[in-house]
Amino acid sequence: MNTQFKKGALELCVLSQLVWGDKYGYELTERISGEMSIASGTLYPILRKLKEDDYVTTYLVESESGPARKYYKLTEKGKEYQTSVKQEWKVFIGAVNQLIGEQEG
Amino acid sequence: MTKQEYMQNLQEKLERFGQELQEEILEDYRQHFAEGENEGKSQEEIIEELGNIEDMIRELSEEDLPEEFSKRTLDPGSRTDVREGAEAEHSRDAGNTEMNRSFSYSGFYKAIILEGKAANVTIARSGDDRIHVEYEAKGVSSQLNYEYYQYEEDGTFYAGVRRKKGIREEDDSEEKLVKVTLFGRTIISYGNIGNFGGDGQSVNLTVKVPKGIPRLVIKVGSGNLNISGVELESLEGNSGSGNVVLNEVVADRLKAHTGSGNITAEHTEFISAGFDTGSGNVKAEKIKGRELKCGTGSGNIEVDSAVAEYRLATGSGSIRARAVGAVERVDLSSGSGSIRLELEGGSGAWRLRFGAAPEAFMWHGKMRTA
Repeated sequence: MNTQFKKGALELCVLSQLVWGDKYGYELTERISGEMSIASGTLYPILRKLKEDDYVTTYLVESESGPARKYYKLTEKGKEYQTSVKQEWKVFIGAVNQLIGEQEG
Repeated sequence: MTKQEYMQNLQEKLERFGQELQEEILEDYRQHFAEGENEGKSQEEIIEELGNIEDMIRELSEEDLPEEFSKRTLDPGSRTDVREGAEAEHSRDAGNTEMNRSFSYSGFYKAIILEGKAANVTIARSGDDRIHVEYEAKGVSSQLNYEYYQYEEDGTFYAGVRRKKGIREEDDSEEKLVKVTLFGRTIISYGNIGNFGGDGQSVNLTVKVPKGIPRLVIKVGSGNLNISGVELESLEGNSGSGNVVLNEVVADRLKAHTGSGNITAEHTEFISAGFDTGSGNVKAEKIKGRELKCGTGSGNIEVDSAVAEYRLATGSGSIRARAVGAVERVDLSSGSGSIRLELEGGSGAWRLRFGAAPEAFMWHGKMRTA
């Protein structure tokens, strides 16, 4: 698969998971790798990039399981971004479905 | 693999990205292990889940690539020469910049991979056993959006031109794809680069390649690609919309491709060669090899060569081929153009001419020219 395309899709998945509340890294990767077969490790650079672009912020919370958990929180900018990317995604998928002959539900 | 080995491996592979990034990713992985173990997973399971480290590294963004990474491999004797603004003799007015840098690298590489984006790339033979690179940028300084980069990974030498930090992709239209379809095959090529080239800017990258490097791959966007005097096992040259010129090149496997530019090859030897262009012309003279494939969507093909097997195809252009020596196979196809073929070998000469065929025309011939 085109890596840019895949990256964009994963980014949207990550952002969308955060819409419903802050999550820590492991929780996020488990959630996403539970739905699709990807190497969990590849999500960490994506999270890092989202932070660099100010779409998310992070904070640490002490954990009993070991090192402190790093939580990711969606920023206002991130919320807006998620909304617009989600919209683009839907339009795109709609078009693809049309072209490959699937009926949209 | 144990967790320790995996983490060790991770640490080593992240080293070149700088400490801050390395620490962060290592910490993410440590946390991941801790969480997984806490859930009762085995180390193997967690390693499997985290996956291939190289895959993760590929996801790191361009900004994460180390800025001064090239320093490590730079020859201490290399010279860096930056001239700016009024000091540069060649500048026409204030704000114009001319920058010249040269580097040289030693070491054995299994491949060289170059990406030129909008730059013109010239490949030449190195006079010694080092790779020499010259980077030259001219133009209005505020609009020079590109910079030189170099790094190596797994024995492969990577260099080229990339966007400067902080220059967002939207700022230029480089990634706009131009789609070219040729005989049912889709060739996707890069489009023109927006704010480059139009304002008297130019970037030139010259790479001198020593003998003994097996593989060379070059990709440019709108720039031209000029390759001469090199010997390799495998050579691949791609340009989105520029021209590709090959001169005195020796390669077992040779490929040249451009979206809309022309391809010219002269005095070149190969076992198999493929020249493809979307809408440009292909011209090959005094070339020698076993197999030659040329394809163009709407351009002309002109071949004068000593090759055993020919496959030449154009959509609407004409084909003119002159073959010297023993020919074993010729496939020609033109949608609406004319075909002229001259075969000269041993005792006999073949002359075939096909004018404006209404539809795709294919001719297979097997002949003996002894």
